[in-house]
Amino acid sequence: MQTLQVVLHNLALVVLVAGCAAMSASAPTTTTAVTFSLPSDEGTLVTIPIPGARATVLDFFGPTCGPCKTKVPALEAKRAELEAKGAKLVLVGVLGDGESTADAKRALASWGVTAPFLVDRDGTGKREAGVVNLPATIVIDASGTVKWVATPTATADDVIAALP
Amino acid sequence: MPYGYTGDAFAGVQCTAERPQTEPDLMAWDSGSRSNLNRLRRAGVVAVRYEAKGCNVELELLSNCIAQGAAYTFSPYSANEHKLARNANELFAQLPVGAARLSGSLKGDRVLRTDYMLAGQYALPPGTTLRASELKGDCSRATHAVSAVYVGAFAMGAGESRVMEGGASLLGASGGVKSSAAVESLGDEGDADACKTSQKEHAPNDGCAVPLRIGLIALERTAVSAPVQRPEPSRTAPSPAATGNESTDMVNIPAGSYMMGSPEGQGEADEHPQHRVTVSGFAMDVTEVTVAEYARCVSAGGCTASDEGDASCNYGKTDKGNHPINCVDFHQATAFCGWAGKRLPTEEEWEYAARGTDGRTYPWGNGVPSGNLCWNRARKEGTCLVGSYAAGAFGLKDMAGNVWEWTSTRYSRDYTSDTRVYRGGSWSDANPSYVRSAVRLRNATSKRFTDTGFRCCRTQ
Repeated sequence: MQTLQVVLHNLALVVLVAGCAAMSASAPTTTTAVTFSLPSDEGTLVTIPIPGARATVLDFFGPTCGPCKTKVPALEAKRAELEAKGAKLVLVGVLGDGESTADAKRALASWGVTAPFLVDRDGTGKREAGVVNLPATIVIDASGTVKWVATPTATADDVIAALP
Repeated sequence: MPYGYTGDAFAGVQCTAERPQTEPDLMAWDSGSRSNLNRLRRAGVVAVRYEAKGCNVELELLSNCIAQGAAYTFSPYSANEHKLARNANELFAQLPVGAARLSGSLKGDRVLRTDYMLAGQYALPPGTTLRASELKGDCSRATHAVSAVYVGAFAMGAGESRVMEGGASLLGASGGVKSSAAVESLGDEGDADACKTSQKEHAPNDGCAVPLRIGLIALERTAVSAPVQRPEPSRTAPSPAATGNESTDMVNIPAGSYMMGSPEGQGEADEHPQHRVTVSGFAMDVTEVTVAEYARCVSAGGCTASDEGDASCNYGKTDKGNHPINCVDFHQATAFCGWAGKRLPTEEEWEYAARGTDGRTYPWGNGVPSGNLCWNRARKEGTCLVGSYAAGAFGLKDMAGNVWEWTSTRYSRDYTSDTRVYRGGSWSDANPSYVRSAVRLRNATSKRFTDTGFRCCRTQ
């Protein structure tokens, strides 16, 4: 566990408006701290931001989200690197009507990802984070302040570079 | 599903529902679903998909699936109660169905209060059972039937604790909670006066008919399969292994032929096409390799220690000696079996050993999983004692559940990655689909999971 001094800057959030919905970028519209609790697929209750983490990377996906097939595994491959920098990567499965936790698990498994994830059945996490479209990745600091929002062309390396 | 890269689990808290999981409260459910439930119970026996694992509770009303032949009848049941949730953990414990929707109302010093009046229940006759085959319509996702619907009225609001913890009921005669500067209304349905009348007269009242709680019964799935002729296995006496000193009981499994995988339209994509496989005779451990057995291999220098860091890893825990070793990777499993003079089974051998030749879905047959395997357990509960559950086609224990089991078979979409298949489902799985004998999962040979172990076999 890293113990780097956390330096928080009170930067105003500049929302980068995604210009092309077809590219599945999403622009969080929240200007308040992102804090919520959701169950994990394991059945535990998880609080966001992850307590003790310097930053929490929220990666929202859906079982039928096409671009997620490449976005999620690419970020998952950077999990160790993210955690070495004091961040926690949290996958959030957004479920629509008729979709189940098992559907999200199957989707992740088919993408080669077996990490646990949060179950966002009622859109609570998505709403709290200001996410509109999937896939969406945001970085929040320890207080829940949004520090970075993925653009449509953002890569997993961009996420690491954006860590506070 | 394997999860919990050891030492890398969420910092989540365990959830324990206040009510039995077969009788969840519905006040946090969405109002549309409550209304639909009321409509459907008048048409026949209601079917749902219900899966509960700690805080993660899914209740899906299947509007196009119903059973005729039994009817709900009203019986009075009076109760006036309230629930007070001071944090998300209490909210999920009290109202797991739909709790996430309301958790945003609990920020700061705010608490969530639910006042409710129960006036009766519409229930099926006691002892009613229902087979999945009795359901009509789009029922592929059905897991349970609704055996009872408790009705009444409720009001729910959020506000600062000093306001919400005292004061008058939110369910006033004026028709429920109203939003104010102090209290945010989160919904109220039903009429308190109608409930008082219903309670007094012990009779149903349309003004007091909001579904507040349901009783659930698991659907029965009876196996319908032709009698099958199969060679009888014989059991070997425990004997010292060739090179190690293990004496795990093994079963001799005769050579045979079976259809590997799942028929079209069933199972996952990688279980197709179903194809005939012929397997030579071999012997297989009756149980998964235990912590105690693995520890002996470590002491003898034949194995490296399993992970201990995660609370759900069994190695090094004094009370887990007869539980399966977990948190071991493919290489450690291979090393143990080699030390014991055995080897890992191929996945062809594993599936044959689990389901035999009659095409059964699970090791015990086709009946839906319930109490016949170690599954659907909370993280803090972890694995079960080995050999506690159902014998498979050849008398092997825990071929479904407890821990997933590494096999020696490579699974690869190309020829570069080193992934191996594991089989059988585990204590952490709650979905029947994941404990089927045909399910194939795979991961890198270096991965260690809290729900994955192994058993060994030996060529005859």
